[in-house]
Amino acid sequence: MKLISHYLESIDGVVIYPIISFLIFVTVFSLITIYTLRLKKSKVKEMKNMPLDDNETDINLINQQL
Amino acid sequence: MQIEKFYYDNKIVKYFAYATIFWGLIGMLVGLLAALQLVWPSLSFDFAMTTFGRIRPVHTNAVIFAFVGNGIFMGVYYSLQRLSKARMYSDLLSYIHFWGWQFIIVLAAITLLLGYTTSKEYAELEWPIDILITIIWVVFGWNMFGTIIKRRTGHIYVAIWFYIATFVTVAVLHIVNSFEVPVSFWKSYSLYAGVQDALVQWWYGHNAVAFFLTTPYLGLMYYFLPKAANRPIYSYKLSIIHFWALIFIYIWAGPHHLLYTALPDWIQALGVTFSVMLIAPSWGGMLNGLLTLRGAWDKVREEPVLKFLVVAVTAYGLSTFEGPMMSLKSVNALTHFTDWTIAHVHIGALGWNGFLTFGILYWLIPKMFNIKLHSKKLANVHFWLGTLGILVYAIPLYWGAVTQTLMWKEFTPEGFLKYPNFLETVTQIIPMYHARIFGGVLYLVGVVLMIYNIAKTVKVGNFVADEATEAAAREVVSPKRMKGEGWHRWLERKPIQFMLLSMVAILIGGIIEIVPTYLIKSNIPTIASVKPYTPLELQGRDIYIREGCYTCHSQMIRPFRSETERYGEYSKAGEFVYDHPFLWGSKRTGPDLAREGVQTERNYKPDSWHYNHMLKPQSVSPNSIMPAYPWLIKNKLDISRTKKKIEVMQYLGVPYPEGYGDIANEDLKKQAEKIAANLKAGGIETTSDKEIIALIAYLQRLGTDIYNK
Ligand code: HEC
Repeated sequence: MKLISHYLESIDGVVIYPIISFLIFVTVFSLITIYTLRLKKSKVKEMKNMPLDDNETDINLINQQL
Repeated sequence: MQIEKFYYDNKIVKYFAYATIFWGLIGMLVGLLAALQLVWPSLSFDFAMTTFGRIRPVHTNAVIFAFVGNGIFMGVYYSLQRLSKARMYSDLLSYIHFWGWQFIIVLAAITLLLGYTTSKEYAELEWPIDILITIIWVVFGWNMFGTIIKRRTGHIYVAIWFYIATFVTVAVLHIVNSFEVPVSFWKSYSLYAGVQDALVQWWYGHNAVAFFLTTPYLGLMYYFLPKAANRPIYSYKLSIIHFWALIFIYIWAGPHHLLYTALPDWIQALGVTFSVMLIAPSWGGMLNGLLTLRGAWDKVREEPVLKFLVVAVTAYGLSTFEGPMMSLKSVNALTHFTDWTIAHVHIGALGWNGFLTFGILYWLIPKMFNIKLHSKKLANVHFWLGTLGILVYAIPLYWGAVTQTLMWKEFTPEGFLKYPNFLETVTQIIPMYHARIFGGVLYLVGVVLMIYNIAKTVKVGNFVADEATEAAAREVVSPKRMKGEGWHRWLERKPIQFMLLSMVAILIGGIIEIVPTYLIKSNIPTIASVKPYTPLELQGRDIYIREGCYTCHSQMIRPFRSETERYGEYSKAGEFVYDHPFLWGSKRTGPDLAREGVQTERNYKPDSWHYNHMLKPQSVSPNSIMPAYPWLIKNKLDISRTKKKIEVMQYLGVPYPEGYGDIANEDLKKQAEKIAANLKAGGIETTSDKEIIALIAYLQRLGTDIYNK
């Protein structure tokens, strides 16, 4: 791949692409992290329990107990 | 609040589950055949449809799109309904999706065996099938979004985000990589050439692994692991960060190392930190899965379902650590083109995808059939056979890869290659290939046990095709953001916005990444002596593609002394400008062929050698594991499409003279006569109209252009 990066390098102003993507990534990622850390506990709990919150009898649980 | 009664569609889940099992078995059997052929080449049976070059793409496509593909749909159709508290949006779409996908798989298997292939790895299918895939994929998406929209829950659980990202990204990848111009119904040439084609292909390849083999299965993990363990995921917050980091980093930063050399220092330094960071989201996901089981390890010891899931998640962690390591230049210089790559992908396929699928099947089937699993003991045996199988498969291959790569690079004190004969480095690692076969058989026996176990379970169970359930109708909330509601929560309530945003995220990333590859075309220094292929060579090249020679041979000499010494002058980007598609290959089971035709290089062989070699490789290279191609000697070359081929090439910008298509076959015949005469001088009686003549013409052309002044 070094072979290729050599040609990529020769494109005028190509450097801007990784820089832009890097900056967008860092910004969005920081925003999401901040948002996530500030989530309310009760909401997190509610979402977290979604897979378990169904009114099915769980045959596998019965299996496990047998 | 009004309680509504409705039914989950279990039948579609059952269909996909059976398809997963069936194609899994087929895909693995074909893989086993390929592994056997690498030890006993006679198992190619001297028959075109069963040679390694055609079997190998059938194996990879079957495992990825048929086994894992159906596994994805099985898990999505089950979990999406429950997480949305709604039946699938449309039964009709469900079944169009199911039968459409199976039809595609069957078409794929048949056409690949017949040699209809684009040669682009994991995107080998020809254009009519590409179109069909697009249609069926849209049906899937339509059904999925319909369900999400009519859901009865307020939020969209994280597993569904992974499904959405999968849908959007696979659509984009598939379309961009499939741009090709048809020559006939089953033949096309890639829109891109050489370096550009390689960049687009591996942009696709990299992200296909990410968005077909990884993100959907992570979604499944986030649903089925909590279900099987009957406890919520360890950290929901971590799962949010895992999701965003993963989709951003994969599509965005994946092949960035290509560009780093052009970056200013400050950002390179950041970049290195950043690359190491890539491991974080993957491991975050793995830990999230494993920690879900904290305090429940006694259950894991008891329950085969959990055992399978634990090993699957661990294998995910292993391969996502190994992957970034393999992209380090110095490591890659050693591992590329070797069996290291094969071992690496099998940790992913057998461990992560395979074991997650088995775990889900063992959980799902008893549940849908309202009965206990026939035999837990047998499932445990499957687990141990599978685990052992993975180890016995992978470890010898790692060992063989290191052995071989070191042999390729070893010089004598006098400065000569210690092992100038490539074949010697192959025969050295044949014992490892034996071990790999044994590992594969162990794994396969496990799968057969599973099939037996499931068949027994199904037989006595009572299948609930439409599972009755009830849930409160969704409160109609204002589409506006409510007071005190975070924007992400608001977004989660709105699937369309969510899809659009993730689409924008992926598209920006994709565009920023792909644009330089479009610019690159005009930045490849042209080499004046590089000329388009002659009509005969072009036909020979198409035979090379049809027979899948690129599954064993690379055409890319890297600028290392060990390679230039062995194969000749290293490859230049300008040499590939007329290569629609590129044929660099990714694995060297045989030697590189980039300079095969150069008379002054060590690998040069006369026409008669090639003829004998293709007829029976072992007659000129004792112990070779290359399959024989006797039909090339017999078959007449089809020249009815020469004109069309030249015209498509012209359309793609290959500078043949105007109207050349009309006289191309005359040139073709002249060149063929010459080669036939050459062969005759070498004592071989043949006529000039055979396929072998075209293939020889192509092989003798390889790498020669830059020597013509
Ligand atoms: C199963 C893997 C495999 C496949 C598929 C395969 N080869 Fe080979 N090939 C080898 C191996 C191994 C060697 C080295 C031993 C030998 O000379 O046979 C080799 C050697 C060669 C050589 C001699 C290279 C040299 O310089 O010594 C040529 C030419 C060649 N192959 C062409 C082809 C063509 C053309 C096809 C497709 C029609 C093909 N091969 C398919 C494995 C393969």
